[in-house]
Amino acid sequence: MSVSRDLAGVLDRIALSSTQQQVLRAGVLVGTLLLLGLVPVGEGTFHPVLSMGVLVIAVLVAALPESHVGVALLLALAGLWVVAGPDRLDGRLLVAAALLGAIHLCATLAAVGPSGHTLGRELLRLWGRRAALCLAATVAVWLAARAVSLLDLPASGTAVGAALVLLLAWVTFLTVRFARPGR
Amino acid sequence: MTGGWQPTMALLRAALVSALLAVVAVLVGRIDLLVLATPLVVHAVAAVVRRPSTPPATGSSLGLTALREGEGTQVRVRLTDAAEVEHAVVQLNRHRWTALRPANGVVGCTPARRQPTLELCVAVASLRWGRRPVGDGLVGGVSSWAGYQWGPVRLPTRTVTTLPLPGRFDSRAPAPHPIGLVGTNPARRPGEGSEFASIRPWHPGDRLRRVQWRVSLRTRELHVTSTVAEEDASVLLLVDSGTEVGVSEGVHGAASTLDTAVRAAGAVAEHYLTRGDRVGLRVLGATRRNAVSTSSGRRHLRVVLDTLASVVPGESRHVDPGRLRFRISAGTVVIVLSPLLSDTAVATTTTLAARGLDVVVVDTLPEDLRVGDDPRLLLAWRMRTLERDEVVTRVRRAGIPVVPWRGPGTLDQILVRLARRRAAPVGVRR
Repeated sequence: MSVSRDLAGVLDRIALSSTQQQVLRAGVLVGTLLLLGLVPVGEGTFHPVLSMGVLVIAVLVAALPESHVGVALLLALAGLWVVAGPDRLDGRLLVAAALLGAIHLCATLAAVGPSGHTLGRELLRLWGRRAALCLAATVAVWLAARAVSLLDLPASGTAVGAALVLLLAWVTFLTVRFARPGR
Repeated sequence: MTGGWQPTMALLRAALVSALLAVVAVLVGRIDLLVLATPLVVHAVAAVVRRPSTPPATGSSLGLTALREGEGTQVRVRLTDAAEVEHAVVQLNRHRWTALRPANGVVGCTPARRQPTLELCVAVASLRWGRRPVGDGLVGGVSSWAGYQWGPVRLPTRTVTTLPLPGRFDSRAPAPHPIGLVGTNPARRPGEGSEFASIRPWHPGDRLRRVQWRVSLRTRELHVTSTVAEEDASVLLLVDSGTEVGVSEGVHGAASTLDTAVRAAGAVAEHYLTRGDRVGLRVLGATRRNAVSTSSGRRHLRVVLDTLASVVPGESRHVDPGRLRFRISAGTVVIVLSPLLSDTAVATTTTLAARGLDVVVVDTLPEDLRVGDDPRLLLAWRMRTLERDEVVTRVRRAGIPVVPWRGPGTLDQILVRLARRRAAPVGVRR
């Protein structure tokens, strides 16, 4: 719950972390690696320097899941997707979005409680349902985006942007209606 | 450390990254970035919608404030106004000679429904006599979707008084000089009791049930069975806390000299007090609460054990034996529990013996004491042991018996010898 700035404290907390926390920290690394591997598939390109930088950030997030570095990791991954990823609305995009969400989820759960804390099954089940909700919303947006792209609208950036913002607002509204604690 | 709700890093991350991705998506015209941002948007919005308003209030308490060594109790951390807490965690600090369950002292709680009150319990055991700090640590919680965190809030330190677990002790030897009115120790004078003394001719005032009919028929004269009066004894325990040698590993491990002294004192006190005798206590080397006046009863046993639990090793080494005042009545047996490594203890012991009191020294230095592997340390300890042997010899020459602590029967032979010495005729120079 607090960020220790000294290296000894960080190492102590890694050493004292529970198996569950270690799995969650490893989840951040594995998710990052999978996403990095997904970027160059198909039309994407591989950027070794950028990929290495992202991996270093992922290691930092795994060591300090409750720190600000998590923002940098997600931004770096999204930036890498923009720079080197395929500009297509295929299944890989859905997998990439799910991996990004999984990395965020792993970092969130790893940061709950002090080192050595193990989350109960009830809470893990609750978060499982929440992850499914996030995934469902992502699939909905992905389908909507594919539908919009199939309409082959004239190249009007403003119109497309406004439409997507509206869609996002709709997803947000649905989330507010259905995302209640304990469900 | 804070007492209010603060957004978590997860919420900030989700909100910031999703907002940036949405803006870039609109500006650059990359619709795929909106898909990437969707899980983060869902998380951020859900967490913000369920934003908690009232921070919980904390309170902690101990199940029991007094324990025996090795016994455990629970530290209860209670959160009120906790309806918006989805998951609460308490982490207690670990201290020497205390054990926590779970071992890292971290316990979490996820209420199934919205509950206004949450209680988190951590089992704690005290492994050594004394006053042990427990219950200090941190407590915190997160709201729904881990969007906001409360705490960590510091928990206050509580003190659990750990009474020494009395070592096994039993003594069948009577007190050498009972001086009270009623008790279980056979006195030197005849009176009402259960110990047979003699069969003597009947005197007016003798009870009818004391008549010894067989002897009366044979001698044609009434005879009665006389008994020895039973009186209580007075015992003063003198615990030397000025020096502690050895490493204490708690109730389940190796014992230091002070561990042995305190546990032996507790055992002796319990033995005599349950027999109805009177016991007093004096702690040599303690600056406060260093004396318990001589008294009897179960409640007094608790006072004695409580005082023993407050002994601090080496608190005050500079005690002037000449200034010590012992309010001891004649006939009191003084039991000194000491490793005989401090001059104060030796001087006090010889002073009390010179006053004509029955003094017994219980040597609390274990025979298999481990002082380390350093050869210089071993040599120094060897020299110190030789000095101590000389002191022990000097004390014995002064007529003070020195016995090692062996538990049951430790004092039997000594007390019998002291009783014989008391009963023996004293030579008077004419």
